[in-house]
Amino acid sequence: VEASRKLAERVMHTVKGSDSEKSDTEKLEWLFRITTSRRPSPDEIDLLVSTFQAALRRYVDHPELAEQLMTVGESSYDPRLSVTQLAALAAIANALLNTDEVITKN
Amino acid sequence: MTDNARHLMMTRRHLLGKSATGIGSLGLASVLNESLFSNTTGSFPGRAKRVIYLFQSGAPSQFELLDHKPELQKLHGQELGADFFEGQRQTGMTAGQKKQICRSIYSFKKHGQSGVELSEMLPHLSTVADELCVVRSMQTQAINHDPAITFFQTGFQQAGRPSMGAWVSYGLGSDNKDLPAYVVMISEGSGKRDSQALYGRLWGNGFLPSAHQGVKFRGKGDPVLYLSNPTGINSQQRREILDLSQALNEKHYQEVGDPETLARIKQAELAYRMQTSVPGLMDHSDEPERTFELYGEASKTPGTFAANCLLARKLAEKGVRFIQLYHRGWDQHGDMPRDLPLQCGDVDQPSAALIKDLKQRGMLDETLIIWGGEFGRTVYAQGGLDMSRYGRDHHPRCFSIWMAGGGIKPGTTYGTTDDFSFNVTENPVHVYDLHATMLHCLGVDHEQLTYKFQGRHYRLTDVHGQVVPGLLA
Repeated sequence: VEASRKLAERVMHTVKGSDSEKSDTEKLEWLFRITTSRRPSPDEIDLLVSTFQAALRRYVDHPELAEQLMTVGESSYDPRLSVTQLAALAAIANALLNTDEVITKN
Repeated sequence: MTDNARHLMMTRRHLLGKSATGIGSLGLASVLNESLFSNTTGSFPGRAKRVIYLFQSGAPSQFELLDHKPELQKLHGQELGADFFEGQRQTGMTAGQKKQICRSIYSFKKHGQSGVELSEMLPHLSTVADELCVVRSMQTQAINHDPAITFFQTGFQQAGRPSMGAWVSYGLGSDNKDLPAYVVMISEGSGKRDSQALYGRLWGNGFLPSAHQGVKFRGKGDPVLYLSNPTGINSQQRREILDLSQALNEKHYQEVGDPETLARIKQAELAYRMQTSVPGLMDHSDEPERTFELYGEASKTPGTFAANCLLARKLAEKGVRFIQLYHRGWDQHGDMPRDLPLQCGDVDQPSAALIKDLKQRGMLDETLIIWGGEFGRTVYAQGGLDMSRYGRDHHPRCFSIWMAGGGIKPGTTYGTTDDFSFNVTENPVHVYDLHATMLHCLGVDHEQLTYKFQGRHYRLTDVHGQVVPGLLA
């Protein structure tokens, strides 16, 4: 879990841009590329975006859940970043880190 | 795989292809339809729906438990010469010593209406003698523990092949999607502190898809580690993350077709379900006190053989296909009089309780129970003939096990050995034959349950084994 949220933080720092939907898609694509070493297909991007938006909605409604997620582990997180964004990205990161493709080195 | 299975694989691909986007848990539900995964050869209806294998690791002595040899009382102390052994391979441990016949210090009696003969060390089991089929003519080729137990588990002395539980899972699938088809539990024997190690590969899947491996439930604490959600992620979040992960996995599978991806998909789903199903197993609060009286006080302590037997019953009720218990500590090379009673104290009451419990619930007929070790012990004593400390060495040519339920003929003794319990004189049952018979009880033809690997069709019994009609009810 901690790895996921730190990865999310890294995404936020690396992929700059305004808080627009396009920027979100860029962040997700970057997340995908860094874990799988390939570009996502349009279908895959759709999957990531829909889950991300659902997760974001939840964290906006329940910010305490986002707080909880971001305090797992020993490392802190950058307080300048949006907690809800971070948490939602962390969820996607977690999902990606657990796919067969990412875990298995062939 | 058989052509049948290959065809099923094609069907799955089509299924996944049609629902490419937004699969979610609904799609997964149909993908995980058990009938698509099992490779039911189901040639005929079997009596048994499941197996509970009570494996006694270390090799319990047949002389002290199941094979009565009254002649030894007279022959005690006589030395056995080289001609007796006819060049048989012996263990390094006793190759150099003088070999003197050693009688057993325990008496045997016939029990129940059937007159099945058991030693005084098994008083509880004696009360269910009429349910037992004692096989005295078991045979194996392996002389040391690791190859012998590997042989028992996989049908081959060298590691790498699927275990019998994996074959059964592959052949019959699971009755319960919330639990693994093959569960393993291990208990320590009171009799021998430094007993043989047991390896994960003994309940492994070999070359069968990973989904068929045995899942070991830990004796103490959480039965399965890391099952509960970590801090920061609740069930809803977990489900959401899992859905995304699985959807990506399935896409990947569509493109690459690696069966291991499919296994991972299935295992992750199973793990998710086990988050709720497993903690419930350990909760014995709705179990009446008389259950614990039946299995013995030890059944209240997690990790004991007794506790595992009770869990085995619960798992059986929940549809787990192959439940295997390992009880360690039977390797009495010495100090049999001190250690054997401790071992029997561990297993006698719970084994009998399991039989009684299942019978009460009307489940004995459909549950095949097998109790036994990996080989037998020698008629000669290891070390000296000090009757307060004697022990026996390994002996593969004949040994005893018992079976109950699941289509096995009750209240009988099958097979005989000579006066020295050295060779089988009638009705030998090789390990391959036991496997064939076990599969037969489950309704599977051992010659049909195959898997193509490295160019040829493998099966649990390889190219051997015959069903033993004399063991069947």
